Amino acid sequence: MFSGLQNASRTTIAVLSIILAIVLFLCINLVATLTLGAVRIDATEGKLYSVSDDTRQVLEDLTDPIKLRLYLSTSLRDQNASIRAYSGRVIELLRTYQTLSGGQVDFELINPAPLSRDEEDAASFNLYAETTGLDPGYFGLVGTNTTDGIEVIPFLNVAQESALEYQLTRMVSRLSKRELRNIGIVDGLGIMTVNATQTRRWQIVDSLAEDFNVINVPLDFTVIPQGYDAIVVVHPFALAPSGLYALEQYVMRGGNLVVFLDPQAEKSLVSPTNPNALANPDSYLLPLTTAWGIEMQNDLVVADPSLAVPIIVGGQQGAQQRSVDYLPWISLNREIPGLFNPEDPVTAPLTAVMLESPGSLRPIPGATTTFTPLLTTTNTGGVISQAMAMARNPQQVLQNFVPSGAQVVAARITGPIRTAFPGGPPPLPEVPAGAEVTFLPPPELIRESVEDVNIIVIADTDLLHDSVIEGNVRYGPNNADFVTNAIESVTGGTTLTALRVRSPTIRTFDRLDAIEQAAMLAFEDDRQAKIAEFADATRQLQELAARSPIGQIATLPADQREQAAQLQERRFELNREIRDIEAAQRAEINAVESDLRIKNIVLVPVAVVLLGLIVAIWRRVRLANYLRRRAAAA
Amino acid sequence: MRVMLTIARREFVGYFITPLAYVFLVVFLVAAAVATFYFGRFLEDRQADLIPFFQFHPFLLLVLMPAVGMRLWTEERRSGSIELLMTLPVTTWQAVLGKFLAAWAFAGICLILTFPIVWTVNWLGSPDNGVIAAGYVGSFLMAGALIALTSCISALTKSQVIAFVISVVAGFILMVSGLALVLDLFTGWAPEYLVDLVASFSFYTHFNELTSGIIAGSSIVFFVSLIGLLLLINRQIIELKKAG
Repeated sequence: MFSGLQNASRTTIAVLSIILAIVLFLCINLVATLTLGAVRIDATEGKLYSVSDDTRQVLEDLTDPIKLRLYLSTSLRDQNASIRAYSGRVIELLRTYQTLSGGQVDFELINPAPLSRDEEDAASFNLYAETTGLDPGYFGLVGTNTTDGIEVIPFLNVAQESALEYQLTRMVSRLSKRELRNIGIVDGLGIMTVNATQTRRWQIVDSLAEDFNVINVPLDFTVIPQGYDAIVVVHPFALAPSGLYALEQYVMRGGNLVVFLDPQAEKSLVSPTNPNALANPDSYLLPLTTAWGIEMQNDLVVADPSLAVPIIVGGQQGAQQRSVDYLPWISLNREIPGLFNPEDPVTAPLTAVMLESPGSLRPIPGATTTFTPLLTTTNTGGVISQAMAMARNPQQVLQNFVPSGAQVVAARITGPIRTAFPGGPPPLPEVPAGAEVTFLPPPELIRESVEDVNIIVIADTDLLHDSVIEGNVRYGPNNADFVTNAIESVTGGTTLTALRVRSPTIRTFDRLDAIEQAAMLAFEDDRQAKIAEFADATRQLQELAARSPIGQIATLPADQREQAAQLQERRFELNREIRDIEAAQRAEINAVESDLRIKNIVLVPVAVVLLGLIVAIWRRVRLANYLRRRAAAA
Repeated sequence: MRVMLTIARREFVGYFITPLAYVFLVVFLVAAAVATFYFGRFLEDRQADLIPFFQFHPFLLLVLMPAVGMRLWTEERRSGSIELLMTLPVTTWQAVLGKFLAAWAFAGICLILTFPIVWTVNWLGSPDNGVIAAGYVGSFLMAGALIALTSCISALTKSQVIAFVISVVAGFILMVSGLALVLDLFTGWAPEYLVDLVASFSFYTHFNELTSGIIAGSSIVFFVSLIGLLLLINRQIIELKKAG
């Protein structure tokens, strides 16, 4: 009886202790979830998930209260595991902001229940409503300040997790700013134009408008008025001498300038007379650049096989569609050291910048200014003629390209400058008859800059285009960040520049890309010759068919039918040969890939099996020896 | 401590004197590599990271760790050696921990032997090795939790098959508890904090956080406390069986 009781009490104790342990486990995890949110090791190379010093600075500098309201529908959160996980991170980061701001940031979490006042508010802030179930689900952030400033993130996208800190800090930073700085854009490319063919301005302008007051400066200016914090000149192919003079004098007087030039502005307007040519492909800003001690090499376009972007070619005349590296389109990637100037705040934080047919910048010997490269190609870089870039034939470029060393495609110019107009202001433009235009008088000539200038020159305008900025996700478009950083840098602001691009580095299989490139070059001549022959045979066949009144080869005389049959046969052969060459081009990649598959799938398992066999044999031998010894002893 | 380590060593060596361990190793390594290269499109996507590798780990571990741990106590109970073990001068804790550590070390060997994929991705490009290391930490912790779960369940039954099946099902529930599938059972009637608590018990949520490169304190506490809880329950069950 006693042992029965003892057993019962032991069972009770065991069950109780299990229940207690479960309760303890729940408590520990509840406390851990609530208190250990910020305790974590950020194992990423770029410390993507840690609050940066810039964010801390922005939060510490806050002088007025800011309210951040996170609208998060629990229905949406509960339906989606990734949103649940991400929302936890957003809430945790917002709480961190609240703490770091010393109370200036007030964070509120709102569950906008359907048909509630909160939902009305969410809708009035234009938050994006995701409808996964019956009710709209919100996951957006609204920030307000005491002066009626409102900033909204309509939906916190899980895919942009690595940019979360940037989004939040930018919101806080904007709400803390009383006034945005003014930038004037001298737009020779049409990035701000809205007309019948271009229904909206380029996205880069929208992006800049988030950080600056963007003002369009008419191209016929004769003086830069007061009030601009910086002037951005884009593709200035047609500035009048009076405009150039006004620009120079603006800089001489301490004005800030960012210039986008281009030897081949691929996104500029097509010539009205020739649809295969550009109306105004290049811009050099002469004679100002000469006076500043810098030149963009005339009619030459930068190319670099190490940075080239693949484009799709073929699909015609029996050839397969395939991707070929187009050398003048280059993607500068952080993975390759030396492309971005690591010392300059404009380029130090960048991960990838894509350029199309940029120009090559270099200092003029004896210049009074200092030339600091910002973006540079690799040592395999070089230049091709503008005409070749215009033809846009990847094979031709590949075959004719000769590397000549690293090319600078963006640079900072600092130091004293002298005027390019020693003879005084050029005459004002002539006013067309009947037009009611009055030009402002030119500024008085200053021959030497009042202080050291600080100009950023970028030898590409295509990097501003929507398709280049967002078209190629694989290469991590950070062009917009580069442009904003450059403008912010000349106006004197540096906060947020490091934050701007804390997105994960795009990492690709460089080795496979290199192997593919080499294989492509090795067989390309032969393939091109076959394709040309194939096209020729096709043309001859078409000519033969044309001789028949009804376009049918079967109705032709016997000798011509024979010739057509031979041509057809030759076409089949060529088609097969082209495919063989393409297979040969793929052969090395295929070999490497299957080698890697074998090494990964088979190698270690085979070693494990061998080890197992060795252990089994060893144990058997040891057992046999033991039995033999025992038998001998007996 | 020394006794526990002796048990762990004995158990660990025990794995390698039967063909079973080699079969597990080969199955795990081949399955992990095949999933990475064929289902994960590792080479086709050309991204220098190990997402295609780690994304299959929860499912591989969910099946293979119960297979490793299912015999931890069932075998002892079936053959009656549990009585013998308990007559030895070892405490139940030492036995439970020793067996668990041996199985967890075996799981560690499984993960270590996937080194060719790390070499491959570094040969092909420049991956973020910090994120890869965090992914391995996540896999190792999840393997530990699944082994502790299996060890606990194996103490309840004499049948390895039953232990395996129940462990896989229980592991699956813990795996998906952060997903709508499970949360739907709670939303509507349970208070929000309870739903949050259930969601925070998802292996998957914690594992995903680790494989993205964040070694969060709450994730470590979750896995370690879960292992501790399961081993404690394991010990109590053995004690009860011993008493019974």
